[in-house]
Amino acid sequence: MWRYFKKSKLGIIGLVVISVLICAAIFAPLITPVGYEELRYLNKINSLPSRDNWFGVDSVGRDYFTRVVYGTRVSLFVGFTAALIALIVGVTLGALAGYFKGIVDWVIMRLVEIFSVIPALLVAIFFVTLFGSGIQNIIFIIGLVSWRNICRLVRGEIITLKEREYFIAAKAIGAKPLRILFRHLLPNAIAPIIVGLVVCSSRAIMLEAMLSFLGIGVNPPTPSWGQMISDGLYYIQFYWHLPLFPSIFLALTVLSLSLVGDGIRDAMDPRLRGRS
Amino acid sequence: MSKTKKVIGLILISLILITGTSSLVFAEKPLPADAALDQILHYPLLGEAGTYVDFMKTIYQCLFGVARITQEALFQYNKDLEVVPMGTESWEISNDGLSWIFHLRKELKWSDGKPVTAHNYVFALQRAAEQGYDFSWYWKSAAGIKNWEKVEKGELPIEELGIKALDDYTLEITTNVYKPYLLGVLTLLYPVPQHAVTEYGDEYATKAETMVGNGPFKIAEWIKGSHITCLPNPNYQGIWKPYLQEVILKYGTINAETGFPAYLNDEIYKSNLNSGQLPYVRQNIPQELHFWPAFRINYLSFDTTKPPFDDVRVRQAFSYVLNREELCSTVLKDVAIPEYSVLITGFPGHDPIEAKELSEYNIELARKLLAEAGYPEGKGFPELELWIKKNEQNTIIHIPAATYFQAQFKEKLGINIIPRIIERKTYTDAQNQHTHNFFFEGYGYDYLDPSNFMDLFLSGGRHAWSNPEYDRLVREADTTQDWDKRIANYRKAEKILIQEAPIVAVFQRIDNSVWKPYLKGEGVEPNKNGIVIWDTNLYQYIFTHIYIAKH
Repeated sequence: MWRYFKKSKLGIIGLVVISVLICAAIFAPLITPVGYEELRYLNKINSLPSRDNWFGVDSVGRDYFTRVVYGTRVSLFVGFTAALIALIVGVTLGALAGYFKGIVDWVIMRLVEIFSVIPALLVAIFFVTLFGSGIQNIIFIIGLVSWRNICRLVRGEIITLKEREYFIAAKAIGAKPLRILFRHLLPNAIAPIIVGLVVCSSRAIMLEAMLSFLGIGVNPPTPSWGQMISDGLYYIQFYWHLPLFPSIFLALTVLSLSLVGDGIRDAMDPRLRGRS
Repeated sequence: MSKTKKVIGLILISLILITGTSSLVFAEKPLPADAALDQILHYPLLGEAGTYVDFMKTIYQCLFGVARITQEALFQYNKDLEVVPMGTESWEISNDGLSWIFHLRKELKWSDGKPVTAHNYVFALQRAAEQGYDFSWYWKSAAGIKNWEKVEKGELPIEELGIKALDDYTLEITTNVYKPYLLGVLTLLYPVPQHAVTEYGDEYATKAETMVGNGPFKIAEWIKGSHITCLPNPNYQGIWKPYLQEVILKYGTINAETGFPAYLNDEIYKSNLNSGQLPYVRQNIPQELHFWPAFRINYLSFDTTKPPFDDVRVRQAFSYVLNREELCSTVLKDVAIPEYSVLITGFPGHDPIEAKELSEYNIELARKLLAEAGYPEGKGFPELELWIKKNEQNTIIHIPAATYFQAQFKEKLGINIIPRIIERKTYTDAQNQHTHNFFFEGYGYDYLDPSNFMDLFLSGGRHAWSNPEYDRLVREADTTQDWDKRIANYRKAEKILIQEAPIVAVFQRIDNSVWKPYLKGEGVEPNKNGIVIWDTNLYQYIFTHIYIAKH
């Protein structure tokens, strides 16, 4: 698979960027000069990027580079864990719907439709109002509103796979449904699942930023790009660095995840392989 | 060709004639010599979320920016913050000090030409008491209108309310106790056009077509989301006639973030500023920058009936740990000044020394008190949510300040707090029903008297705290005529408030604005204290005392 993936230049760029960001997130304490909640630069409020403060200082005297880097940690962590939750929910429900059809399928698909009709952001806001904000809640909530795409992908894939001979063969020798599902069908549906996971995590990151932008996401002082953009907008006229840096990082993260997702899809799709 | 030229010429001539005559018609007062030909003020619209141009219907959903210039109260403040009689010529007070008789001006008219009578004032308060009014505490406590509470609850008929029309032009107001500062309180008593309410209902004040006012301006055009145009009210017979021929109030420009770019672009003639814009203004247009105290106290408020704030030592620790001077010289530079008590700097009754001594920054003492209360280094202290009321104009000050509190409490006391912005309705409900325990509050003055702030903390109000001694002192001071005696009692009460610490005063907002140098007139000249105040309580004075100079 790597053989095919490395042919996609954009995919490679995305992978490099995302790896750098992951490293930055892991080693954040090593590469930043001060703590993200320390009001260390009270006499340099809002100052522009300089040699001491690479990204400048924010409106309450915190080093902005530190905050942006720690923001990477929050964003990626929320994005990936929420996507994992979405994956577990989505794959389970999708597999059940695709395999059993009938009433199970009907119920699950109606559920998917309900979630598709209402914008994810709205549902997320509703749940935050119910359960409160904070990083754990946000992860669960984002996971809960993002599973529908994976669910639909998996269901479709299972339905096609059920037409294959090996499925009929497995059924003929009397294998139990769960064994067929997990041993024979799902491993063959891994390609769309991986693509779904990558796309889902980039959406989760975006959703977290939106919630934090609205002030109901991650609790301060934990840095979050969405919240930093929102606070920075007040000062955009003269202190452009405040909204700019978190926006760049957010855009880079979401873009490179999409590129990686595209790369994987192309690499796994036999119909596209011959073309490049 | 010549024909077109003629047509154009005709059009030009008629245009000149029209503008010329219109300024003749509307020029109520002779304009100063340096005035520009067009007296059109472009101004940001304040309170654009409001629905009603009617103070007596609602305060919190009132379209402030329009109501302040299209309605006229019984009294108003001028730039020296003196109470000026607007609707009345003379008044007398009964020997027991409880009943006030106002002789109204007979020449005053509504914008539809009907006379303004005492019945309009009576109707205003009766309607408010009957319907339920979101500013009801003001008439109950600040004004102390007789029987207000009972009428509001329906225990007494509406006629028993302490406001009566003795005849068309004689108004009698009766209070529960003697209120030496009643005239200042009455700067929020507006008459309501009963005939308009009868015809259109309370919604008369939501449309330009049905709106009737008694102020110096009237609404000519109201395009929601765009602008509201006000013209001089031709039926206005009051004492403050305007120079301006037109006031265009623009939606979406009251916040500094959108207002200041519009100001630089000459779309509006005045703008608020946020702390990020001040350095630019100081450097480039310092002559257009103005500061004045907002008389708005910002404080932390606790529910003293429940843990952890039922322990006075915890509350005091929260006061001693705050380095207000550092906060106001860094995070809130130029937008706030430190305050140690509710009688804030510049306000009547302010005590510059003792309050500060009682609550000065003392980190060791704060730690010691917290340890004595059973939370050494913050151990075992619950994580708290600090609620902040959502309000676009204040958020920009409240967020950085709350971030500062958060860092200070964490670093110095080991206590975690989470600042959270809450919708107005949820917030005020929690506050009134005491369902939350920790607020970051702001309160701006309504009238210029120590009682305005001191009465806020009387038992049974919105703060979950009660102290009989405080109540006694404040009530006694409220009804004392002798100023020195009053102040002595307020000082004693203030000391209790600081030591018992149901609230912790932190800072007073400093308002700032830029306005164009060609806005001239008495309204923007320094008052007797050498400052220019352009706040909402003075809108009517300022809008009628400025003109636009040639530029």
